[in-house]
Amino acid sequence: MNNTSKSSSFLGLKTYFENKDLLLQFTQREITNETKGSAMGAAWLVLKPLFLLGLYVFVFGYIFDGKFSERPEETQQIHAIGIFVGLNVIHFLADILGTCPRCVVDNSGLVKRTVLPLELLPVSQVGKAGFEFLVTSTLMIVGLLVFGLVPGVNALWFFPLTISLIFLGLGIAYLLATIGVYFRDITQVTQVASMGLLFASAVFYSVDMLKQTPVAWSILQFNPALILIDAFRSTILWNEPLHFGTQLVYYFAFCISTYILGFFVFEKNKKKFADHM
Amino acid sequence: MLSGNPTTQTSITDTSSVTAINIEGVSKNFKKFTALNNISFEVKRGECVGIVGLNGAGKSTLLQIIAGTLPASEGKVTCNGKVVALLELGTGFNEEYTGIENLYMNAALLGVPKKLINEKLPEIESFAEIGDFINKPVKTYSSGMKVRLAFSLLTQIDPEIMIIDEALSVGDTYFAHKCAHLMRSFRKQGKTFLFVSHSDAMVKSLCDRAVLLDKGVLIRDGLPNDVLEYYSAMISQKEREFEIQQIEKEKGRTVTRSGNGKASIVRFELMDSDSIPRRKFGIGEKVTISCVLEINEVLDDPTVGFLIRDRVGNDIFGTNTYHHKIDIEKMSAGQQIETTFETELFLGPGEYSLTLAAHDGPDHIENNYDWFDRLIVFNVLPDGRPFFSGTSALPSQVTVSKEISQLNRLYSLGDTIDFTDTGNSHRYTLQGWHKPEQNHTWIDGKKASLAIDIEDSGGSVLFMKAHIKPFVTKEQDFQDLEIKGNGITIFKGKLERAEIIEVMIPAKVFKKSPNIHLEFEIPHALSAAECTKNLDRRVLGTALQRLVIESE
Repeated sequence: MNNTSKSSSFLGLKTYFENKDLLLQFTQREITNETKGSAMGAAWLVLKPLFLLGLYVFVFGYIFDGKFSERPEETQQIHAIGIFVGLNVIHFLADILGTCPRCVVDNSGLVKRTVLPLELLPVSQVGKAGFEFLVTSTLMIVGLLVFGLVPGVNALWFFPLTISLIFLGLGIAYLLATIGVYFRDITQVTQVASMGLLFASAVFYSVDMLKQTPVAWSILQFNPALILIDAFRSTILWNEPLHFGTQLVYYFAFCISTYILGFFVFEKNKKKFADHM
Repeated sequence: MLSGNPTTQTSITDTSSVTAINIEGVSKNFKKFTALNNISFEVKRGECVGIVGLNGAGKSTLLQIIAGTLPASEGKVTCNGKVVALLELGTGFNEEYTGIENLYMNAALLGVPKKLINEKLPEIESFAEIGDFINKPVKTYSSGMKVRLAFSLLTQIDPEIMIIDEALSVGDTYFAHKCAHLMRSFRKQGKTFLFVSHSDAMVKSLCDRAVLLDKGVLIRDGLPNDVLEYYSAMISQKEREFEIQQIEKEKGRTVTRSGNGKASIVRFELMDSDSIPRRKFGIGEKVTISCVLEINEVLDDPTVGFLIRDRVGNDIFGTNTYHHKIDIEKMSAGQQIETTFETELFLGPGEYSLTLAAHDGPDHIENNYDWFDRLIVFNVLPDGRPFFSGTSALPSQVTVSKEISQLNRLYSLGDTIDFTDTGNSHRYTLQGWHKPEQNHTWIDGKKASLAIDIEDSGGSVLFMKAHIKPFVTKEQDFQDLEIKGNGITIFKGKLERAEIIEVMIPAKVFKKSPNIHLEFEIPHALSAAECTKNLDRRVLGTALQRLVIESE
C-alpha cells in the first residue's frame, strides 16, 4: 500500500530500473515459457524466425516474384526480406495485442498475494516481444549480407525507430492490460485488430502502391506501423535518409503519447485490480 | 505466495513498545457485502498475534490489506519495517519450471539477491528436504513438497514483520514442527508475526495475543486462551441460539459462559473434604465439587459435568454424569438439582481452572444448556513429596541398588513368577500378536516346559498355584491341560476360562532332582492359522500368567 505511490516518477522508468532483476527474470520466463519442455528448448528462439525467413524468401522471393520499387538492386531475395521487415514489426505488435489483455488477469495470484510492482507484468510481455523482434532483426541483417546487400549508414536509424516502437508497444500493453481486467472481451477484439493491422500496414505491398489509392492513403497514412515499416525499409534496405517529414514527427509523437497515456491509465487503475479479479 | 515489501518507512529504534503494524479503522467493502468493518488494532514490535475466526470472517482479506495487495475501502494500515507476506502457497510457482528455477523466481519476488541464493542453496535444500525433486519440474511435486519448497526460502529472508496465512496447516507434522521451530527462532530475534491459523494449539503455543474476527468485525482481542475459549464457545453451537457473555472477573481474568439457556448453573462450589470452600489444596487432597442446576425447560436426563484445565488451557481431567451412567430422569421447569463430584487432586503444583457444564448426551457439542468456563481457579500446592514435573502426580518409588537384579530364571520358594510383563508365556493379547520370542521359546509343538530351581524345601509339602488362561475360540471353547513335574502328572483338567489352579506337588516329584521341571501338555493347542484366515502358525495353548510354588 505504500510502495505504489512513487512509481509514477519518470514515467515508470524508475520502477523498471529499481526492479531490473525481477523484470529480467519475468522477461526471461516469458521468453522461455513457450519453448519450455520442448526437446530443443531455447534453440527454437532462433530456429523459428529462421524457418519463417526461409519460407518468406521462398514464397515471396521465388514464387510471387514481386517488387517494391524499380531500384536495380532489389533482387527477389531482397524483396522477400522487405516483406519480412514488415512482418517482424506486425508480429511484435500482434504479440502484444494477443498477450497483454490477459497478462494481469492471468496472474491473479501475483496480483492478490504479492506486492509485486504490477507494471512488470505488461512490461515483461513487451520485453519478450522485443527480444523476439531483435532476434529476427539480427537474422534479417545476416540475410541481407548473405544476399549481397550491405546496409549503409542510414541503417543506424534502426535504433531510434526500434526504441520508439518499444515505447509504442509498452503504451499499448499498459492500455490492454488495464482494459483486460474490466472487460475480458477485449481478447476477441484484439485478435481481429492484429489481423487488420497486418493488412493495413503495407506489409505485402509498397507504400507507393498505396498512394495510388487516395481514399485508403488518406486514412492509412496515419497508421504508425505503416510509417515505421516504410522507414525501416528505406533506411535499411535502400540506405535512404528518412524522408517522411511530418509523418515521422507524427510517428514519434504518437509512440511517446501512447506510452504516456497507457502508463497513466495503468497507474490510475492498478490499485483496483485486486478487487476486480 | 511470497512477497517482499521493499518499503521501510521509518527507522526503528530498539524499543519493544514500538508499533510494528498499526491498523486504524480498516473497512473493506466488496460489491455486495462488507468484508471488514472498522477494524483497529496494533501489533507491537516482537509480538506474535494470531487471527482466528470462522471461514468468511475476513481474516484473509485483512492480511491482504496489511500486506498491501488489496486496498482498504476506508482506514489505514501502517507497517514499520520490511514486511514479508506468505499469503498463499504455490502462488508464483510455475509448474513447468524446476524447484530451483522457481526458488530463484521467488527470491527475486522477495528481493533476495541471486548471489545470496547461490551461496545458501545447500542450506535451503536441506531445509526443504525434497531431495532430487528440487531439480524436477514443480508439476511433479506433491502439495506437501510445494509447501516445503516455498517455506525453505524463508530461512534466507530477513523480514522484520511476517504475515502468514494458514500456510503451516499444509505439510506433515514433522515439517510443521520444523516451521514452528523456525518461527520461534525468528521470534527470538525480535521479529513480529501476524498469522491466521485454525490450529488452537499453534495459536496457544506461538502467540502472545489473539484476535477474533466474526463477519468482518473484531470481536475479541486479548490473551490467546481467553480469545480461543470465546471462539470455541462460539463454534460449539452453530445455530447461535445462545448468547455468550464474557464476564470480567477477579484480576481481569475472563470467564466465558455459553449455552442455550434450557438449564442454568445457579450455584457452584469447590470444597475440601470438610465441605469448606477452598481454593488451595495439597497434592492428592480430596475435593468436592458441587453444582446446582436450575431447569428452565422440560429436559430428559440432562448431563452435568466438570472439567479441570491447567494454566495454559489443556484439559487435565473431566467427566460427567452421563459417563458415570447416572440417570437424572425427566426434569420439569423450575426444578433444581444438585450434583456433587468427589475427586482427589493428584495434580502437579500449579494453577488450575474448573469448568462446569450442563448439556445433553455425552458432550456439549450438540445441545449445550450452560457451559461455564473457568469459573473457579484453584491452586495445587507442593507438599513434602519429592519434586516432580508435569500436571499429574503419579505415585512413584525409586530404588537404586548395586546388585543388578536377575530378571528371569531364578526364583526362590514362594516367589510369584509373573509372566505377564516379563516372561514369554503371555502369548497373545487383546490387540494382536506379539513378535515371536527370540531367545527362548518354551513351547514345542503342543508341549511347553519350564525349569525352575527351587531351594530346598526341607522336606515340607509344596503347593503350586498357577494363574492360567486358556486360548479359546468359538470352535475350540476349552483347552485340556496336563501339567507334569519332572515327568509325574500333578494336574490334569479342562480349562474354559482363566483360572487359578492350586495343586499339591507330590513328594515323589523331587525324588530325582531338587529342581522342578514343569511340562505343560496342551493337546488342543492351535495356531491362528488353523482357526482364522491369519497366516500366523505359532501355536497357542494356554497363557501362564502367574506361578507360585510355596510350602504350606
